[in-house]
Amino acid sequence: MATGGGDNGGAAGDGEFYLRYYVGHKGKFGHEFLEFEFRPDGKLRYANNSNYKNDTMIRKEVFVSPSVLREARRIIQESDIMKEDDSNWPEPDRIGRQELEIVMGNEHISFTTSKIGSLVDVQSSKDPEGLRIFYYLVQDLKCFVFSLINLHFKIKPIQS
Amino acid sequence: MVAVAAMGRAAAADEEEDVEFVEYDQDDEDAMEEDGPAARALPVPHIVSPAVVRTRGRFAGRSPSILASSRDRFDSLTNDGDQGHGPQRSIEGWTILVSGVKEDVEEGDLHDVFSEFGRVKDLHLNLERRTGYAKGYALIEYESFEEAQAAIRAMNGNQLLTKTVYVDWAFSRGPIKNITSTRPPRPRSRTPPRRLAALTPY
Repeated sequence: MATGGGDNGGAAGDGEFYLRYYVGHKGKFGHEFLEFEFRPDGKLRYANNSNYKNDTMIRKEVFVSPSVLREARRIIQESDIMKEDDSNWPEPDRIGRQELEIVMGNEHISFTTSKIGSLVDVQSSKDPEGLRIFYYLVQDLKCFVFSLINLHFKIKPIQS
Repeated sequence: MVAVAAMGRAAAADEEEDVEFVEYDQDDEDAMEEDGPAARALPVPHIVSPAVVRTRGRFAGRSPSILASSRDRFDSLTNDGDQGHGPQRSIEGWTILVSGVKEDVEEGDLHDVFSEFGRVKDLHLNLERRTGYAKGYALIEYESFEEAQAAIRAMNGNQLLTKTVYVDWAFSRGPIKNITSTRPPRPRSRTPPRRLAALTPY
């Protein structure tokens, strides 16, 4: 495996770890968004507000085991997202905004971009390689978190 | 920077009033400028230690995060006062994580192997979106603690289709203890102790 993360940024390392992802927009149904974070102590927080089908916000939290945190680290590490930069990514717009914030080892990234509809948006951007990494990583992370939330609470997270 | 921060506060004020936002120190500007390229980036949230130095990313504002709220109730299955060590029961059973899963493993293979320890109530073998192969982990739910524990004991560190897998509980009753940080503290840190407040459970 590539080890670009330094001595304490490795997938199995126990250095600092924090992850937050947000996707949302403000429209005729108000502020609709999906957001989750993994905290260093293992707390996974998940919030989802979709006013279209029901007007109550879903807010869940659960502590995950160190193994689950390690798996999240591994997914991030293997994506190489920590080597990317969002300076040439599309700016957030009225359609929506995505934010990805990660602390791993001694590195902190705080990326912001618009919503990405499909790979066509990725290809036509100014940084297709970097944006593709972001695009796939976000889907893999959402998939992981949705499974955790779904299994633990037996709710079906809404795709935002 | 000050103007931007003020705009941020104004935008935040438009949001729901009962939401607390991640707080950033407003008196940190010159510390950030010393970091050069990091000056444009958002400061690290207080939830991690201030020893994290290398920051990258465009400063493009930030949505007020509901996750930082300490007042809004987040649903949880943990009984208050019962936070401690050990696995946490999920609403309908006990969930385990299998990591190190081979990329060409199929759901049926996993189901067969893990059914030896009890009825598999639910199984998520998630695929990598880019390749369509298994992402490398699976989540499995059993009805009883004993079944899940038997699966962990038998399969952790064992071979699953020629690859070593690691099996553990997915959820815990409380926070991970001993959050170790091996890095030395930031040498020129002007961090008052209150900045670590976010590290304490709430």
